[in-house]
Amino acid sequence: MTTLLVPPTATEPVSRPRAANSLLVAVLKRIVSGVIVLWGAATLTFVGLQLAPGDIVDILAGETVSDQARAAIASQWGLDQPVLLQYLDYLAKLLRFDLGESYVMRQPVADVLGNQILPTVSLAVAAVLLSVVASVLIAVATAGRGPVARGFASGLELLAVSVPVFWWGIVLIISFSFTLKIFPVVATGSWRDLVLPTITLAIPTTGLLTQVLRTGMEQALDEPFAMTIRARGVGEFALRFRHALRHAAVSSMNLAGWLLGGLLGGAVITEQVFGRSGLGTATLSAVTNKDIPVVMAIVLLVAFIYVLTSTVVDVLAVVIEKRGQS
Amino acid sequence: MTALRSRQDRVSPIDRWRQSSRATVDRLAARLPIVVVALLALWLLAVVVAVFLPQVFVPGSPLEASPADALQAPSPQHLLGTDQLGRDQFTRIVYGLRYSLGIGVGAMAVSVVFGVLFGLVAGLGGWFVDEVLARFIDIISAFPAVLLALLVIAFTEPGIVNLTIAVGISAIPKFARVIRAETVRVRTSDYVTHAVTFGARRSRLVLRHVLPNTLTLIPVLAMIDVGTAIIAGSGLSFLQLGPQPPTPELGVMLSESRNLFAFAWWLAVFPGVVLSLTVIALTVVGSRLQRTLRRAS
Repeated sequence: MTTLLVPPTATEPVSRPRAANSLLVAVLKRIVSGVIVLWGAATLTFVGLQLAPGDIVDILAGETVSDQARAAIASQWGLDQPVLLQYLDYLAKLLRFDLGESYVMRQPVADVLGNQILPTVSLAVAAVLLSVVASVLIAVATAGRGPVARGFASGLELLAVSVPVFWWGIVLIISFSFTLKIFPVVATGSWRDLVLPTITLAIPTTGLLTQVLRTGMEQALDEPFAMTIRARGVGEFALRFRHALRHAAVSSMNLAGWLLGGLLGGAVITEQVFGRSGLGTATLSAVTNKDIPVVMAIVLLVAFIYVLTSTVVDVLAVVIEKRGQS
Repeated sequence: MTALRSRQDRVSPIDRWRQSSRATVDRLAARLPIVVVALLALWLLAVVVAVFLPQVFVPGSPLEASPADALQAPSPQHLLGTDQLGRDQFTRIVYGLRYSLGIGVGAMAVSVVFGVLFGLVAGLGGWFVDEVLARFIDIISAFPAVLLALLVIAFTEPGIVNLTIAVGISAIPKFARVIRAETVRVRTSDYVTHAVTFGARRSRLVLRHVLPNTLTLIPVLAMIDVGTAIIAGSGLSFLQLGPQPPTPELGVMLSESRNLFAFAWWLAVFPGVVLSLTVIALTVVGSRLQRTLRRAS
């Protein structure tokens, strides 16, 4: 196909190895910049901690303890070291995935968080699935349709992003748990516990994804290739699902890291509304108890997930782009 | 010149999404009947009055409790019912708008000031400065807004000022990116190149050409950002990380009465409706204003 469109040039065989090389360079560039962002995130949290008013020893010891005891605690936690040494120690530990020790629980942060990961991950995975399915259906059904369908879709999008997440949760609890009594108010251990939190968490994500998919699909349906496919006698349904959607999906891939991060942020609020345990609840109690190692660990974990996802997506985009060029 | 051009092209996927999302909201706002838009504008006007002169709407105090009247359903006496302490909910909501809007506007101010600063410096500085600031902005964007705010509050103390700053920080990248792109555009435009050939000084260039041209973007962006900040702020207040009870902030009110929702639906419904309606009104009216301004110029 491409050979028909692009006239072969004399330089082509020569440029091949260079193309592979430049692909490698571009990929490496993305990875390096991802690592820089991670290092910056770790440094920024460390600097924030140093700049924060108040003494960490106060949190650890309480304010009534004698100076001697304070000094002992400071040396036990390595807080009597120069700041630069503390920083290097902190980075070295992070490199070994050692997230430090919780001030409050007096055990490794990894253990504190380990038990909390599963409920949050199952909630987030369910919300991702729901929002992907819902936004694909809405986008396929309404992209490029008449004014009523599009008005309906953009109205939904506006509502999804303008109404606070916690209030969606409250509204769902009142209507489905209190009034209709379909879903339990208190956790029962069955799959039914997951339904309302999943919907709550999925609403803003669905709003965003639908916007991206719908815009992408409307652009794709305007392209000449859409007309070609229609002319081949392929049905409207297949055109939308197999061809236009694929185009739109590529552009929404770019948002994956951002959406995942937003989901984990939304989990903090959703878990509170529904009284669930998980990373969000752990973060919140760490914030209120000033258990700073735990807060820093969670924030860095989420930044890590964001950077990892965006880097993978970026690298994929570079590979696809370069392959298209050669 | 070519280096500058290619710098201008570096648009992050989030910005591309923002543009498309603005486009869908704009299209919706443009198609809404003028009556609806007028009603939303009227609502905003009422909100502004409630912020500055709450006495116009309600005679009483938001903190005045009368246990005998606790948990009453909406009635002519208490238009939106009363809460567990017998406080009039209508009064509390009217006074609560002050806090929600204050957080929204304050956070927006933080993001605009730092966003404009970073954006201008990045757009006008050399390659190195631009690169460093771009990375810095990338780092801030790596933290989801809620978690960034949680981190700031963990380092400081829960409270309305820290909450406002925390929400503001998370929106800095949005403004910085827009201002940087616009700065680069203005700087590479023909008339600025022209001014440079005539020997205009750098400070004059910034103050006379770049700044006024980039700042025209701010008001409407800012108005819509207030809505986003209100949502983020109310969520954190709901987690009780901002103003503390008995402050009549809408998120705090919802969090305070959450155990009573089974018996008192009005405590759950009205604060949320007022909050959402305000955010929707800001978005829609902001978008319509932008359209009108663009047509006028």
